[in-house]
Amino acid sequence: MDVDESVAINHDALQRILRNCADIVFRPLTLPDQADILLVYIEELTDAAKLEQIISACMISREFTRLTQYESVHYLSEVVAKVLKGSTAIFIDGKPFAYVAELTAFNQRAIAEPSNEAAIRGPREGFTEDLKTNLSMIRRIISHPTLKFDKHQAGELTNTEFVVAYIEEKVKPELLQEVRRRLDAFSTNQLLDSGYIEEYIEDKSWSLFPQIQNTERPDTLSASLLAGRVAIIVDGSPNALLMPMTFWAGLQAAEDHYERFIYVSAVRLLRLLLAMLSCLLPSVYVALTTFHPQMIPLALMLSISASREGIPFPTVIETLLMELMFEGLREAGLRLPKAIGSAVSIVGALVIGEAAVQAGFISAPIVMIVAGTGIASFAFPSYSLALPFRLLRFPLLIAGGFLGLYGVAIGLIFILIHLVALKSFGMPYLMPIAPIGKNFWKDAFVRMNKRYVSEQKKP
Amino acid sequence: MRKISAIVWLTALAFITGCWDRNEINDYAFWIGTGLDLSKDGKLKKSAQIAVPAGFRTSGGGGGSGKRANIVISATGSSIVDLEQQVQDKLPRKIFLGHRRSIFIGESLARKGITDIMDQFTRNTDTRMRTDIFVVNNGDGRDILEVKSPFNQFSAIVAVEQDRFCRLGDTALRDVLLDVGRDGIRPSMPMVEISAKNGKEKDEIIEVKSVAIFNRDLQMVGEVSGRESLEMFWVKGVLKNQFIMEETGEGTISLYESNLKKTVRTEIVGNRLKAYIKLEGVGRVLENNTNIDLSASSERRPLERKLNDIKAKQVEATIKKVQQQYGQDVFGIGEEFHREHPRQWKGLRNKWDRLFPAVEVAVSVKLKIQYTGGIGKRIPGIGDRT
Amino acid sequence: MRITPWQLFCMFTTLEISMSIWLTVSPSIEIARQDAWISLAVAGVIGLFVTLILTRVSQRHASLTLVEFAQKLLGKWIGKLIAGLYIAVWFSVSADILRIFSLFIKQFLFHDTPVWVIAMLMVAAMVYINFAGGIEAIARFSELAGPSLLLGIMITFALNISNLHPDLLLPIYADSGAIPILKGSLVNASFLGESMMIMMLTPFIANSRKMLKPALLAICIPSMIAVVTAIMVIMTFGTNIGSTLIFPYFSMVRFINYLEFIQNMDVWIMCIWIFSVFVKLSIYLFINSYGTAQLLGVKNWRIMIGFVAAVIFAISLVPANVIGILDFAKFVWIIYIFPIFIVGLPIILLLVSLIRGQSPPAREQQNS
Repeated sequence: MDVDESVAINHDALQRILRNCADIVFRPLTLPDQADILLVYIEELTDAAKLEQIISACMISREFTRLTQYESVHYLSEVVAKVLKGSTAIFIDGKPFAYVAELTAFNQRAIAEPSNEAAIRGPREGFTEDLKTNLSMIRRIISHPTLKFDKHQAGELTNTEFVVAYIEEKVKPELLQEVRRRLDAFSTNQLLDSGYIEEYIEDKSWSLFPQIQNTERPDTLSASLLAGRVAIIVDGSPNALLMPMTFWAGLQAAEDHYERFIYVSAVRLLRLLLAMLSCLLPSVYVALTTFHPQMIPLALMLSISASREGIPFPTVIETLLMELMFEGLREAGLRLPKAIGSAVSIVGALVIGEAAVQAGFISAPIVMIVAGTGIASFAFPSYSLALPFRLLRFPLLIAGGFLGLYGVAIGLIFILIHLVALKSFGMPYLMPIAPIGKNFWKDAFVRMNKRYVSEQKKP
Repeated sequence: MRKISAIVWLTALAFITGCWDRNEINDYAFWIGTGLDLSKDGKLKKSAQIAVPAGFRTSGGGGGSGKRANIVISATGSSIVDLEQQVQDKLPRKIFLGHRRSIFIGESLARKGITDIMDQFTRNTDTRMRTDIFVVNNGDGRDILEVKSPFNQFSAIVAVEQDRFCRLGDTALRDVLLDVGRDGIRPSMPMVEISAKNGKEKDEIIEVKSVAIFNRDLQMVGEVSGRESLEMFWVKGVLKNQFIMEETGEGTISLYESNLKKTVRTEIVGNRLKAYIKLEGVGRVLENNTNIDLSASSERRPLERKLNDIKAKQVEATIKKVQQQYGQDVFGIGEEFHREHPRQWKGLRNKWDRLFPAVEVAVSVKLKIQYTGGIGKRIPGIGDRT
Repeated sequence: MRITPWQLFCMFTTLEISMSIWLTVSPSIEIARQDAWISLAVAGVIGLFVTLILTRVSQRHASLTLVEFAQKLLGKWIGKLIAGLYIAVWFSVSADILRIFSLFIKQFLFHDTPVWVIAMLMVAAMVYINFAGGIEAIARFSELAGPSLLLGIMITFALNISNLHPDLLLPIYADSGAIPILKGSLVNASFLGESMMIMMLTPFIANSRKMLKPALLAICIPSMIAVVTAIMVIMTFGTNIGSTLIFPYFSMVRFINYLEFIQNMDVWIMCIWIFSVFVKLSIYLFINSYGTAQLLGVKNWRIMIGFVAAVIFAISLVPANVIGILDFAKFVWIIYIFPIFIVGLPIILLLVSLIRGQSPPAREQQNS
């Protein structure tokens, strides 16, 4: 519906659309020359001082070009959408359009250190919920005209804006095209977080493994853009999406590129080891003790055997119970306020660790195994990559409990098949290792000295 | 997608219906040592030293009331397999052979011949070839298993560790099997015995100090003991280090010899077979009861020469003894002929047992004193013999 | 589906290594005694020669599989017959390997678990990888499995050094002589002839002109591993034990005892080795499915996977015991398959292709 020349008609039309919207203010004004003006805005989202300026400007002259940010909108529906986003619409008699000015000023969280991706070294700022702030942070890091922000909108009801960011010189056209193709197919009536887009556009949403990386750090995002990846930043979400993602990206922390490279290489190998431990340790323990006791050195095995005397559960069940309990503890502690969270862990450690062993329900080695697994599972820099490992531990445990190391090996083969067949936006998931890529030595298992390799990684 | 999920379900099914081989760790009876004996009526007796984990726990928890962490079970019968079943019948847990560390063969059985019992040691895929094998000097394997050593709960393990420090290490079974099928060498096995010199040591201490000599048919024909057994292993080339003490004529001197090596040259002159054995090693002086100043080369050299001559004579005597008394080539001199004269060897291999006693052996020893210990000369006033 | 020369190298190395530490060593020791390692080196040379022929044949028809170019060269019906024979061979070989594998796993890791369970899980994994990504996924999988197996083998070699008696390798040559050495090399040479699979894989190789080097390297490295394994086994166990042990490499690994803690490593090695056998069997499943589909004129080869896997699984349940299947290697593989299918027919195909003088590699390349 077009904007009418008459303010009164516009007024009626708007009020019909926006009935029962208590937060929207209609403010009719009459200018000295008897022309009617209508301002429509949301009070809480509008900067009062600026609004006053506009009103006084209107009163004096009908000179709206002095406004810093405005556009003329011809369609009423568009006006409504803008107003609902916090803009102020100004209707003036005799003009078949509305001036829409962005006078938004609302309370938002300050830029803070990203809590899920803390770094010892490197910048401490993290994304906030506001898209513009986030974009400005990226623009400050990459001040180059080739950095592009493609604006999109999705969500019939939420009308959420999101931006596809890329660097024109670096990104492969096919990748960009593929991202756009998938975004075009994407439609939803609600877009509350970047997770909605992620689930919709990733290659295999049935997979346990994340195929799109998410980050709260502008520096990580910028580095990825420079490496030719594409980012999606959604208004209202502090987690930006990065694609394509490889498995190894989930094992890399932001400061890997700021710390000294030998240390980083060692830490990366350690992370890989811990990652494997976090899903294999319980199953291998169960397989060894119940199927292949000849593998365990005699002295160690006799102590294990001695500590298991009188335990009522089979080892598989014992491990399964303790693992479940551990996951429960972790989940319980996650949502609780910090003060109570620590109480949960104390209770858990005491009850499960001490009492169960003392009472002879659970053997001591199992507690150690579960604790070791827990520690290993915290070593992932990327939370979303730690999830599949946490989950896969259980099927592997069952496989190990029923068919020993052969079961574990077959389980591992199944997981690896999935990983080698998985692709993220056309890029094999295990990229620089399988298939082997150019930056195998530069930035996968280890990170090479930046002096000797170009630090930009190609996708 | 549907096909893949079908695969996953099938796999899961296979896992769930599985667990044929699952066995809790404390449903196993860990078999640590085996004793094989000849019973009075000529039947085979097999004894097993089985770990009792519950007893093991107290040793860590401070209780440690001298309770044995093992139990010895015996069975008598005509075939080995039958015995295994008999042992199993006496146990509430499944026997597990994967951790067997040593095998003790009673001397009477060893003298009768052990060909029939060797196969089982290698065939069973649960067992390891890294097992020690002993002949029990003047006794039964079971007696050794009953020994309560203060060092370890299992006398079977104590024997292995003792063997490692004294002679061979835990590869004895492999070494015996290596020698069995070859023409130019006859097997030898360490011997273990219960030391019964005084009451306190009885039943607590075992000794590994002799070597049993076997013939081609795996019958024990004799033994060499003490110094001679060390010399035998040295010539065989498996000894790594040893303590030696020699009387030089002006006092005794003790050395710790390490990096022991042997090289053998062989020669066939007509019908005569000659072997030149060169033994080498470097030594550290432990005790010097002579007046010789070891730090001075002019005095040390003659001493070294003297020591080497004495040692060479001893080794020659040992070889001679074995040649004449037992006639079995436990040194592997035949293999040296094989290596150096592979073509002539084809004619010798089948009559080696007859030829070996006539081989002319010349031994030369080259021990070097590399360190004189913490002091060079003796501290003045100690044991001066003027 | 495209694989790079490096991936081709990984795939072939992985599948040949799985053999060279598994079945090849003890027959060679049995025949050539302490000179088995010379035999294995000779076998490597024979393998190189055979692979050279095989690669040349397939390079001349880089965009075609064996099923297609056999028909092109020899006419429709003879070509189909020969391709069918090849596929029958591959069926029998993969069933045989699956069977030995399952029995071997049962023998070393289990006692009571039925063989069909072990085999079925393996078949399930094979089917999965073929559905999920075909040869491409197998190639990537072997990029992970091959190097890790290689690393594992190197570690075991290093740890085994303290158990060696170098004397046992002597005297060289004198005891055996040329004939036993040659005879002993046949087993491994014929196993290396498994590279005949390359005739089915050329259309998938991204740059088929560069495939000769990786194919030959993939024979060299496993041969070297086999030679070192033979040397190590002989120096550890001597020729008598070494030739009687059915799986000497694994017995040798079991013999390692390092720091009184690292012992019985064989199960670990076996776990990695399972990966490489899996690669081998998956490739067989792939070429069997693909070849059968082409032979029968089925457009979508994936339809054949389930059927082929079921047939392989069913055949694998027929033979009786380990020795019976090793007989397959001895009496069928070496006597019939090796001379006919690995040496004879490829040479004929190469000659026919040369005589007809058609399809130079360059033009084929552009078509593909």
